[in-house]
Amino acid sequence: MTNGNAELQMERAMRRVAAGATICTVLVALSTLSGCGRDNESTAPVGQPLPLLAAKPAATPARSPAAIPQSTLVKAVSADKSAAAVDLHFELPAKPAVGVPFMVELVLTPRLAAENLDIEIAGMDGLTLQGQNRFQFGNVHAGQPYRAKVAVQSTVAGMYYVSVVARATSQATTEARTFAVPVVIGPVAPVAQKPAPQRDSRGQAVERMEAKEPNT
Amino acid sequence: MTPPLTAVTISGRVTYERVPFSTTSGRGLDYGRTVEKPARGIVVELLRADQSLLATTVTSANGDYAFSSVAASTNVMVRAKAQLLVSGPPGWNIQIKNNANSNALYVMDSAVFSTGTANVTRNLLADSGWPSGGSSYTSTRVAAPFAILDTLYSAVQRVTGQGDPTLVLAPLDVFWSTQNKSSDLWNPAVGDIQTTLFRPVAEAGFPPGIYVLGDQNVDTDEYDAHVIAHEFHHFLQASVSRDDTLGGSHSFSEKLDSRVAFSEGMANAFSGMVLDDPAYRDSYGAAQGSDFGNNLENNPVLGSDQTGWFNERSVGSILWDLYDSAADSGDTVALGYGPIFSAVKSIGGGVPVTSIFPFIVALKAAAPAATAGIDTLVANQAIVASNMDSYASTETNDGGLADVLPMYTTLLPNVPVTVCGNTTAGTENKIGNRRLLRLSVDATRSFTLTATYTANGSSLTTGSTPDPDLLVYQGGLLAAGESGDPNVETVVRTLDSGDYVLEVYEYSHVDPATTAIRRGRTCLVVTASG
Repeated sequence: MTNGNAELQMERAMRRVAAGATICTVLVALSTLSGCGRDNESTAPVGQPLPLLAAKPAATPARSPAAIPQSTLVKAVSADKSAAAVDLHFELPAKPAVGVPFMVELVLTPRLAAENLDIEIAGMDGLTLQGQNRFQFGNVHAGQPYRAKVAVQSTVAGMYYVSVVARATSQATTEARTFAVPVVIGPVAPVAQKPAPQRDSRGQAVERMEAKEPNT
Repeated sequence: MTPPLTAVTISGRVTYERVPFSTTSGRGLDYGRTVEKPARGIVVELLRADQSLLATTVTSANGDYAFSSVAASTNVMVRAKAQLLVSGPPGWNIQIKNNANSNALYVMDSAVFSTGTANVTRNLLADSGWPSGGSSYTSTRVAAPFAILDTLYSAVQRVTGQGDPTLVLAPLDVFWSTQNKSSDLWNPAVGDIQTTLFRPVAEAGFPPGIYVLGDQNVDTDEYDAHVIAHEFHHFLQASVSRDDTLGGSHSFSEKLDSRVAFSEGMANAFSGMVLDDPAYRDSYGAAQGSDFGNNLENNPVLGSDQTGWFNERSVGSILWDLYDSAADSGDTVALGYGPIFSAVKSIGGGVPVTSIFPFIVALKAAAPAATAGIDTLVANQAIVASNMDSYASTETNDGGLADVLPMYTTLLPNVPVTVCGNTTAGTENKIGNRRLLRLSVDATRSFTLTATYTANGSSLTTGSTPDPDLLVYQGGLLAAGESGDPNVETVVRTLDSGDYVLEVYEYSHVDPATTAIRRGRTCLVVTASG
């Protein structure tokens, strides 16, 4: 017996997505290069906890499937591995441009109180980090946002990822969660079509790798 | 002088490099202790030089393979596929594919060689890509898919060896790529997989299966055997039983919905059972040099408010102690895996949602002689053990929070009841977010099921307009009312006689969006009219 009806599950997933906000950060960043949740922006200094976000009255968000952006690809019922109880969203105060340093503002929200929350940020090939890339917050409160800013730069247009490792320590127990924050810099050329993988004699796509052949 | 052979045997051994964890907890993978391990049970093909197929076999538990009666003096190559395949019973077909390359199956090829006129030995080694004494990957990570596969081989052996020797598993695809990263997007074609996870159904055109992180210096999981075995159990439970888990983010210390706590705790414990190692570890960070985890043998402290049916560590520690033979404090039980598998399978046929409660009831039925020992372990995690039933009607541990118990509120036809939910323990999949009701129907008829917002009991905090949702289960999801209609949700359905589970919640309490505006405590009047 399986977990219910697959079509029903997919429909449920799509409805959930229409609410949209989990991936709002990424989608907005990709499409308009601004951030989500900017109404929540604070002037609190980096490395200091921010005040609680004020909830604002809002109409019930539309959840009709028609509202789903076709490129939106989603969180459905997936069984994830265990990770630190920390959520992340990010903001890009300015549109990233080639060769110009710009800020990525990370807002981490612990779901549980912790003695320490350590943040480590890294770039990737072609994306350089400038300045501080480690942040530490003590006596962390659940539900309270903690902000870290990092300057990044690239000399080549493209889509990059800023890596974030968050470690929450409480009662001598550490849990970690990793994030990959997508950043689009400059005009991105359409992705060239990848060559199709080779197929074996049965028609199955295969990715060939070379064996080492010891003692042969 | 021995005459040249007209047919030869080609044989050898297929191995892969496994990178173990440091002997020091928290220090991640230790590339200096990389070991060569046999690639067990994998498909090996003998191909002509043009890659047409000559013969197929499967490696032994030592990684050995052999092809006999191969024509002499022929140019051939040996291909080791990242695939476990046995038609069975017991049977399985598990493949490791590259989601960022059109779901191509990983294969490892020898060089082309002539079979000659004497028997040939060709050993194939899948290299980690991390040079001896190095500090980073410098070549193709050939070993990764084979490391994942070998963990799954261990899992399959445990399940079919001690669970069900006649089990034929559904085909399983596992997707791994060096591009797989923890982006919040879901687009596996470019490596956006969110995290290592199991998806039971296709998602946005991407096939179901286990997706595994491979993003070096951030988070890779190919050598995190507990993580791989953990995800396999999600597949196993969904395949041979039922898993009502809500999914979503979770950690060792959160107070989770009973379905999530069981699914995750069981998967954690299963990983320990497969590897005979209770120390679950997950590597991450620069050079994969850090790790975190949970030792299943370290039982959460009784009396802490994190101990109970809602905590995946509590569930995991109970299940591990039920399995293992180490007689630590309060643990007099050593059931092995067989009864645990039977109980997991059994709960799939029941009406109550999958949680520790129907599992323990089923386990006691499967191993009645161990009832006292089982009760002790369960009670040690602050779960009411004696007189437990599948609906948790005797449970008293509410985690110190309101709107958690009873786990099921009785709903009689045409008699409204009020239940309330909150976000005190968090959102999406935590205790208090969603409320369950039990409905017994005596004869087939049409029902109008409604969940209607009521201000009576609801907090006055601001938030979005109330948006109730209502789901109906009977051994799996039957109907879902998840419209965005304000204040009320309605499901009309003909229900046959029998027991049903209804789930109701205020949507903003379960919205996975981290930026969602949450309502405070919200109460719903639930009615089954018919």
